[in-house]
Amino acid sequence: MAFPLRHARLSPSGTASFGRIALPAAALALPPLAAAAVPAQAWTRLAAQPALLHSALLSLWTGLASTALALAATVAILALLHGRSAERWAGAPLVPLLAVPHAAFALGFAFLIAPSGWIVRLLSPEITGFQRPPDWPVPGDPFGLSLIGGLALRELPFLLLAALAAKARIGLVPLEASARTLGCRPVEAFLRVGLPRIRGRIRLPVLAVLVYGTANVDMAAVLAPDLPAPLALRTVRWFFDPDPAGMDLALAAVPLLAALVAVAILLWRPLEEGLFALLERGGRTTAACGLVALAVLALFGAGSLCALVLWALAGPWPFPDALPAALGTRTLELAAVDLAGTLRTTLLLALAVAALAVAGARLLLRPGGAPAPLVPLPLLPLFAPPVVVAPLLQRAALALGAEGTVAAVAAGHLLYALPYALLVLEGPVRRVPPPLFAAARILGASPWRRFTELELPLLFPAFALAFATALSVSFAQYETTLFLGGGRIRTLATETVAYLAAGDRQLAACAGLLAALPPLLGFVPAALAVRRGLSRRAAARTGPRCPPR
Amino acid sequence: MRRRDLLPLLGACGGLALAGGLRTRTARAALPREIAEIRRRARGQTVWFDAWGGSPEINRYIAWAGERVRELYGVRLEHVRLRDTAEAVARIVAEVEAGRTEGGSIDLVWINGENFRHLKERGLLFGPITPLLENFALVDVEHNPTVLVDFTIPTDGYEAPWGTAQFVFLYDTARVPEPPRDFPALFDWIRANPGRFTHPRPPDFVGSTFLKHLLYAVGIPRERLAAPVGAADFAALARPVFDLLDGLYPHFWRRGRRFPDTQGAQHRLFADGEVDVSMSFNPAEAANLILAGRLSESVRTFVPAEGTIGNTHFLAIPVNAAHREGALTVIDFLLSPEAQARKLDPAVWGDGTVLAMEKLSPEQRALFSAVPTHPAILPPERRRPVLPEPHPDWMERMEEAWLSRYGTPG
Repeated sequence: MAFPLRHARLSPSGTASFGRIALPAAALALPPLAAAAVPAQAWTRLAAQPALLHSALLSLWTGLASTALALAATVAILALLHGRSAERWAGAPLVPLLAVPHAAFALGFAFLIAPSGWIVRLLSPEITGFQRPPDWPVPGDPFGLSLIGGLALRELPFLLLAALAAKARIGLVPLEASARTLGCRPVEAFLRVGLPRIRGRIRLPVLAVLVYGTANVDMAAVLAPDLPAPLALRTVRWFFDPDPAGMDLALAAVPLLAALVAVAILLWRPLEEGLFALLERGGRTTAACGLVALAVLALFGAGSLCALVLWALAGPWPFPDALPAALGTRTLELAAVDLAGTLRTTLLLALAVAALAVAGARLLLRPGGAPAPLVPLPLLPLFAPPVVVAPLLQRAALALGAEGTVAAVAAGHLLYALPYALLVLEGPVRRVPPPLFAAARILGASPWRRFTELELPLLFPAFALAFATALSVSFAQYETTLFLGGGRIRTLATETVAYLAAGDRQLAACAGLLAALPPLLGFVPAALAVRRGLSRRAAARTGPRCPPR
Repeated sequence: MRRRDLLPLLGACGGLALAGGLRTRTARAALPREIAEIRRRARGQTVWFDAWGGSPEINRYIAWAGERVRELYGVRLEHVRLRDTAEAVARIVAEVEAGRTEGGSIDLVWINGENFRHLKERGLLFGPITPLLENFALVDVEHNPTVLVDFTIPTDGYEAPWGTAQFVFLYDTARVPEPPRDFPALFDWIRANPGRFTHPRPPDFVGSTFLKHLLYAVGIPRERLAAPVGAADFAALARPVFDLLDGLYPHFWRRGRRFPDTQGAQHRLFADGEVDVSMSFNPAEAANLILAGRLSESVRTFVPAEGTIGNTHFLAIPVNAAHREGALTVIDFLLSPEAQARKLDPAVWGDGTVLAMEKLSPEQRALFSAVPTHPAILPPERRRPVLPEPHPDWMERMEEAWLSRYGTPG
């Protein structure tokens, strides 16, 4: 799961019920599928790897715990904001946080919490007395708490945006009014009557967060424990092991990882049940927790972003200085030279992928009607982590001789961009009033004209949003680019991780910020389109021209 | 009606596939023996150069070389930035196994050690290539044996030397005024300064190379290290190394339970002050990082009295390379005095040259004497003795043993 703005019209009831039953079932079907590609001797070699169970449990624990934490914080903040004017603008400050790639966010967060990090520096040496950083085990503590914290912080804005959008769309006022007449306080009324209705609508995003948390590589590379590392990280390391036998291990680990994701999804149901029961009963305590969650989000979210910006501009910044001695654009200039080609590839790729994703999503939907029966199928990748899917796709691409081509990478990106475009478009396209099109059909307007003159103006904000969303998904693709690009196709996402591996925090910060810009730029027009009600004006313009017979 | 909606999508897909451009396969023709003829045929070729991409400075140097070969010979150089050279080895093996014996995706690879051995033993390298190169005549084969013997494996001309390297430690004079004299002193320093030392996690090559120094430090004879080693022998001979590590790791950063992923990650810890020592396989890297503003001015390097491992890194052409003429043209350029002198500059890369100064013309020598020095670079006489690389068996068994011993929790 990658990035943002799929929040607007997420998961209408049709896909929600689908998400409850069919997708987890499909997730169960993935492990045997992936297992078919594994050579027999690889299983025994994998089983002989030290601490394999530990790695698997670590993945499961960090995935479940970070999702639960992010969801609990989302609900708590929702309860806190309920009925306040802040509810309307609260989503806006979250967008920059979502635009920054996971790896770059992890970099900023790690710099906050490390013993040589910003927080300790601000308190040193005056308060702590540290002249040298202490040897504390963060980030990368053995229990995975740094990773859980980082994941929860990175996913919280996403879930919060989804929940705020869902809340705005369902009319809660009459329900809550009656709950209040029965003696409930406003917060209690919301938690007990409103929340259950929101819950169904954010089920898909929550599951996507769970899948990402269980099998992510880019954040784990910075924040996860090591020796042993979580399974997804070890799998990718095996793929690129200097020992060619590592490939066998990696191929055998892929179905194991897929199985782990399936187990996480199965365990999530009862966990979510308990979590919601707790939150619904919490009442004002839940809202109070929301205040804490909001404070933590503001502090660490803004802190991580500021750290990124500072590192992009900093020269040497030794401990315990609270600020870099000098700021300059030197690294940015270097990054601009080093990344010029990469930026072009990333942009062109994302634009093509976004256009195809929006076109594909629209073709799968029917205006004013239920979606085609096969529509849920493209949603499957939401539940198949890229680290599982990308190696399988790579095999296929190798067989076709397409590995390392732009087309192969674009296909991989499309696999993940299409479901998000579908999620954004489904509701609006389905809600187009059927008589509008019936009239156009009777008048003999061609399908193309019906699309360009009726649907496009009417649904322009939704299309813009779907486009921006697909754009950002493409920007965030790390594993699919890595495997299908065969090193020949590089994007900002892969370069950020490469700079990080090289230990170059300055350049990694630059690449991360650079990667955040285009999705932000893509989203601003979409947001403007929504605000200004472009659709209505455009529809009015096209109205009077009657199609010729 | 649906079908008409689909058309634009299909068109877009097709356009995308064309834009992606499936790499073309070229028919294999006999290679000319003359460099001029090789260069003539190389014109217009695109050379895919698989090289470790972990250093922005090196990446920029390769980009510069790409501009030069385009100007001089009309060859386009595409740097494929690897995280580990083993990725290229795996790809070459996979391609040839899949029957792609020509038109392979890699034309040129930056390589040495175990990776070279894997490819050479399987007959996956094209060559011998050194007789085809004009500038190989300038290489210092007389005084530097490592340009012909890679980790005890004779190169037999299947790879061309590109640069020389020697392992050094980095320290910050602001934090450690006097660096340890020799390895025993380093071990004492680690015990006396808990939490201030670590090494990159094997199989990072700098981390593995640090461990190889311990093979020397516990007194395994040079001749033994130059020969292959079996599992039983290794277990017996390397036992003192693991005893030593068992005793040292409790005094390491994070008590030896966690190690930086890469040498870059260790440089970051070093810059942040979490550890007091870093390490590099390039004597000029410290200077390079200081000049790039990533390490403070007070950083210097040291080599323990016993000396450190030095080696040469090479360029090779896979047996199934699609553009052999282009690759040879690029290698020959990278061996030229122009390219070698620029590479030596610590502000550019700081990589040692493989050329013999006495074989150069006065103008060519002037290129090298014009390269600025830096206080963080130890002169060669203060880096002696240079220890030879052990046979690749040692490194592979060391990495395996290390991982099974320290790769588990608790």
